[in-house]
Amino acid sequence: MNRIGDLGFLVGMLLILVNYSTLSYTQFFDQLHTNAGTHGGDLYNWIAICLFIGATGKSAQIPLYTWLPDAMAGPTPVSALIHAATMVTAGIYMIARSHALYTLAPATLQVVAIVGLATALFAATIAMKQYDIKKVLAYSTVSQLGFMFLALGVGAYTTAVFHVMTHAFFKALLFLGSGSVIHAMGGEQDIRKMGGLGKKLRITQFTFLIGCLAISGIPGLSGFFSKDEILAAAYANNPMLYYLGIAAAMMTAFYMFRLYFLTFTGTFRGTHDQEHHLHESPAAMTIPLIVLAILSIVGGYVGLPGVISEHHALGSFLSSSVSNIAEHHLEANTEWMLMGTSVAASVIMIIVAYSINKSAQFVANSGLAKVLENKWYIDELYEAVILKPLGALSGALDKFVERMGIDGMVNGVGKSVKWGSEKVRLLQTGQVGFYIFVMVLGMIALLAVGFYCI
Amino acid sequence: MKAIIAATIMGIIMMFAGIMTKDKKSLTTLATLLLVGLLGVNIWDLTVTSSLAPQELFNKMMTINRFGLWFNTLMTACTLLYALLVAKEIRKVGAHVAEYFALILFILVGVYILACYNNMLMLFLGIEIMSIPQYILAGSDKRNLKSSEASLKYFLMGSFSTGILLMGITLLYGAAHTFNISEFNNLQTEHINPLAIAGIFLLIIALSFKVSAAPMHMWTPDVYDGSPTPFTAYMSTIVKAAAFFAFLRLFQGSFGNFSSSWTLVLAIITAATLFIGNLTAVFQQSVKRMLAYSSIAQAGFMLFAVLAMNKVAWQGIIIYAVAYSVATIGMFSVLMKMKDYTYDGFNGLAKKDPLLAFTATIFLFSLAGIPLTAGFMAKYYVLQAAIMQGQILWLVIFALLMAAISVYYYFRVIMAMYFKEGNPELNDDITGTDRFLLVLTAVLVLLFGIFPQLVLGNI
Amino acid sequence: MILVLLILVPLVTGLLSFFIKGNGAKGLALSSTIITMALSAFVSAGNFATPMHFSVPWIPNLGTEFSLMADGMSAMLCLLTGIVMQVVITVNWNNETPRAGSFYALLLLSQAGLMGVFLAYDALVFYVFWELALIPVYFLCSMWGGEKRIAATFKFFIYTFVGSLMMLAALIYLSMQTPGINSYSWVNIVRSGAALPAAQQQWLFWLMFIAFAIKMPVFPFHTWQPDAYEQSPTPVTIVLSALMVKMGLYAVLRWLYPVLPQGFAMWSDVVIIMAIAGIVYASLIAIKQSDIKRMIAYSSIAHMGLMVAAAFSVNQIGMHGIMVQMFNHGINITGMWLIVSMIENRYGTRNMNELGGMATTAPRMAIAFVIIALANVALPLTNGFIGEFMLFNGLFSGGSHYHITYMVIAGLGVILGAVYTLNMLQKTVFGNAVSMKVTKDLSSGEFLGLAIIILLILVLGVYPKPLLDLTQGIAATLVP
Repeated sequence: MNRIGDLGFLVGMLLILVNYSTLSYTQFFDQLHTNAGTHGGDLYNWIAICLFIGATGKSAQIPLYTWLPDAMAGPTPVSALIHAATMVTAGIYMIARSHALYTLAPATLQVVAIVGLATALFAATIAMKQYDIKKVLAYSTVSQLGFMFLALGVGAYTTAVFHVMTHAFFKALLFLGSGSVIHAMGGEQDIRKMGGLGKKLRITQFTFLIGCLAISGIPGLSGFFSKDEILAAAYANNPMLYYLGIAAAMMTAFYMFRLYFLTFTGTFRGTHDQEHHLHESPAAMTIPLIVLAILSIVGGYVGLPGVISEHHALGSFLSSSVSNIAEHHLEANTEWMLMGTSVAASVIMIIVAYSINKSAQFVANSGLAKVLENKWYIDELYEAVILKPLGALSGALDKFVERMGIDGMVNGVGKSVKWGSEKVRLLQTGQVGFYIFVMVLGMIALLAVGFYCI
Repeated sequence: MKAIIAATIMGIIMMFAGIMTKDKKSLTTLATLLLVGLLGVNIWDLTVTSSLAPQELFNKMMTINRFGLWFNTLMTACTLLYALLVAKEIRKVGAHVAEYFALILFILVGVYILACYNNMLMLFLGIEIMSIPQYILAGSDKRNLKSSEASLKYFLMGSFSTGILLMGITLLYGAAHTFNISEFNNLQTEHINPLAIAGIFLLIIALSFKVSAAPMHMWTPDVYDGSPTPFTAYMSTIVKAAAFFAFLRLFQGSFGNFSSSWTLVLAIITAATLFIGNLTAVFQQSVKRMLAYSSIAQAGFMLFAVLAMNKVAWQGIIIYAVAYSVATIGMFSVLMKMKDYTYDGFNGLAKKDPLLAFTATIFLFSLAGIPLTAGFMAKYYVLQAAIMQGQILWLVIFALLMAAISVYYYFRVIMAMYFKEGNPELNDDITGTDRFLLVLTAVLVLLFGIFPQLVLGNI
Repeated sequence: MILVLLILVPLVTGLLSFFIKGNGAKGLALSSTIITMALSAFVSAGNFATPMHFSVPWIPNLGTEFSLMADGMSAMLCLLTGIVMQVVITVNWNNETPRAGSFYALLLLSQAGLMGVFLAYDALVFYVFWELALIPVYFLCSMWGGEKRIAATFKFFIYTFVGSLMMLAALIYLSMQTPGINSYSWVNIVRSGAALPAAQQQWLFWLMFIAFAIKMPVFPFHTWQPDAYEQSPTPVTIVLSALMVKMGLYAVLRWLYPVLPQGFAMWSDVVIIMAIAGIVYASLIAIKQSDIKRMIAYSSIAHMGLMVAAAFSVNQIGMHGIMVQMFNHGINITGMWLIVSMIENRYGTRNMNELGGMATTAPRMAIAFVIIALANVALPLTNGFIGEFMLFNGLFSGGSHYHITYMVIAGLGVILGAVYTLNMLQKTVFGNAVSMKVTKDLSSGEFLGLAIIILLILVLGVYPKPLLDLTQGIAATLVP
């Protein structure tokens, strides 16, 4: 999947190279500034789209996202590092870096926004019905990445980078926290087997709660500031984006707290052995959790929204490299309203999550729930549409074209020579009379040809 | 000229020696010494003749120039090599060892005449002198019915072709009013006398018989297979080379001006020869018969020299004659050391007798045309001559494809020797001298392959 | 003078080795290859503003001399030959080879032939060495190969031979255009070829290109290759795939492109399509292969396809990329084959489905395997990436209308390449050790050989400048 993205990226790079004779950031962007308009809008869009394809692969957007949940099988610290904070954000970084290009390619920006939003929604729906802790977090990552792309798509580059930062804090926190849970459960990752862990795992529970609050955008925590900025920018661009964004945020709150309640509250649903095993993780694990929790709380204050404070620390810090274009000047009222709506929506969903999962009954899912549980059967779809035909094509090519066709022709030459040899050999009958007869025939034929051609 | 006389006298000496003693070994020694003497006479001839003024003898019936003399010397040297390598086998053929060598010397006489003729009657003489001893040699294994059959077939078909030859000569005489081939060039080229053309065609056909070109090749497999192997080795090499030399001399020297008339016919013959020769060789199970068919295929290549009208063609014929003769004689001598002439008889030879297998491999490489061997240089010269001629490129490509086929049947022997398991039976009298001679022959093949100038001398 | 030594040392030691038994032969071969490698390194370190020459008269009346020339490209390929042979012998050190004397002799002889091809400056010399490089390999495959080796090798031999004969006809034709003492020298051939009218250049191009297309191989002339690679003993497979295929590509750059420029231009679209079809086709087939050797064989077709396509989109960066990639591919594929031969020796099977868990049973080998395989997929930081990027660039900058399409389709091949390579890695290195016997990890000889390869992969991946500089001059001369 990454490779497919890489191919797109490569095409984009070559387009840049061919048209601008350079791949260096500074030179390219300078040229863009000075020659804006000489190349025509199409080229910008092509380059931008190709680079975006690369970002899609790297940052797990639709349709190249399926690798990320599968990669959760790795050890948890690895997941925390790569999938939460660093690797997946490479795509965001690249587009933010290249904002000079993207500004010139508005059509692509639209695509980016739509893909980001769709991914955010889609992944959130799946996360609502997953039973593996890490899978929930994986889809949550995909969804949050979608939010970041949405931000890029509406031109809010600094905001996207802001969300990168805050997301790194709380997602790493959540992952490490889940690692702590899994460690306590002796390797069990299914939340249906957990419950009531809060009693034994105080620190984990507390820090985990902070992470959940942050991701749900509860005011005071970092997630609130960044997510809110994204939603505000979206609204300024196109209200529809905002409404769908709110929907995704609501789902985010829902599935995160579902996870929290099912894991840490209620009664324990696991085996006796596991229950005996439950213990808080050692300090080596809990101290990072605490650190990250603190960061998740205070990290947001570098980017206060305009209505609260004129000073956007992060924005100033980054303004030399990147800045939000189209400073959307919303009225203060609108901004407060937006903030309020999103907070209210999140709180409502938290309550819903609590009530639904209080009883913690697990029945076999059916209908839409089943579809969600099975991740919309996308993996199966990919397998059927791409992998199986690919394998079949490969096998068919090997059997028919390679062996029977081309190789057959080559072997056929050899076989026909042998066959010809057998047949011609039969001319040697051993009878002199026949030989002389053939000679005479040959003579006549040659004489005829010779005379005819003079 | 002196060589012709010398060879005749030596032949007679051999015959008398046969009366005086029945001891085969001393007879072969005598023959070898006589051949050495003959070689000396040839070299004497060569040094005496100047390159500028070819001698003309007998009222211009023979023209002796350096080129012809050089060819004679080379052929004599090859015959000497042949005699050294194959002497033992000749002794095994029958009782009349002296006669065999005498006949070989008489064949050499015919070869010399064919190198120097200037008159159609001399051509006829030379061909007959060359052929009749062969009829006898082919049938010399009295105990084997196949040998007699070979002899008879050869005689019958040879006579038939001689008849055609004479008819052609007559027609040409009618057109040109002379037998001297150097004067054929004066014939008109615009309105070509149909008599002349018919004569030329008949000559082509008769000479094609002698060099076993298709469709006049059908006697070759039976005759070569039935004759005793030592004589097959001689027939398929020296004799064929001489016939080609005569062919070339006639057509390039005399009919060069009408080449447009007869090139197509000759090209068709060449293509058919290459095709039939290579294709049939593929199927053979006996190495001896395979070599017979392969000689047809090699003849196809040599025909290219006749088709191409240029100096390189002359050089090509000489190199091809030497390369082909040496390699084939070497291969035959290896063959004669085996009891079983089929491919399977060669299985595992590399383990049993590595030297034998190695020299055989060199000979086979040469026949197949692998670079660094004389055979490659030979094919190269001939191909270059053909490409220079410019109009027969399609034939060149065809020939190269056929050469690839030839690799198959030559390499089958190599594969049997090296890659298959088996216990080949050898005739158990392989002496150190034999090995030395084989190695010498192989070295010659490689030497001529890297430095073909040696063969061309200073012509 | 050194140039002749490059050919003579392997030739003489090879001939000697026929008469030496067992370990003596191994030692002789090792010292010989070390000397040759040192010589070739010395040659490569030279300054190639003026190429090195060597010339001795051979057959004047044919117009051919025995002349050799080394410029950046030739020197690099000679260096590659030296290194690869050296590695092959080092790694094979502990293996029991029956009839070792002949085996090493034939290997050394083939090295002599290869050196000759890369150094030849005279067309007839080139042809002679072209054929001569083939013969020892033929014997090597047929005597030490797998079960079905005889038919596969023979097919390989005749197929290649037909191609070479066509090339010979073309070379004779070209030399005949300007007869004389030097008619076969490279300079002359170039002059006569370039002077020919376009119509003649058209079919002459195919006569010559057939030989190279079969050698590299280019789809659809490739069918001899998987069987031949599969059946040959792995040291020979290395020679075949790392070195001999470079003969074909080198010949295109040295003997085809300068000689028949118009024919080249006329047919470049066709050839690019053939090459790119080959990339996708071979990559697809590679996916389904379960025998590792066959899979690598098909992947080699894909790699060469990319190089050929870049060659025919005539531009400087593409040409430069080809030369860089020739070297890198040689190194990388040698590494792959070495690992395959180690797997075969230890586990007795090459079937991916029967292997597994190498990471636990032989961790050092597994690490080497992963690095080399990733280099083959052109991961950045490996040398494969440098070459491949330049090739894509070359393909993309080509003059044809469809250059973007070509690049995208070629890119597909790259993706598929990742598919089958990672599939193979997953099956063999990771996963459970199914029925694995406990075996040794790398022996010292193997370690040394692999270390050289991996060192080159990583160093050239991070600091490719020496290689780039070596070949820059030639690329500039070819396509100014």
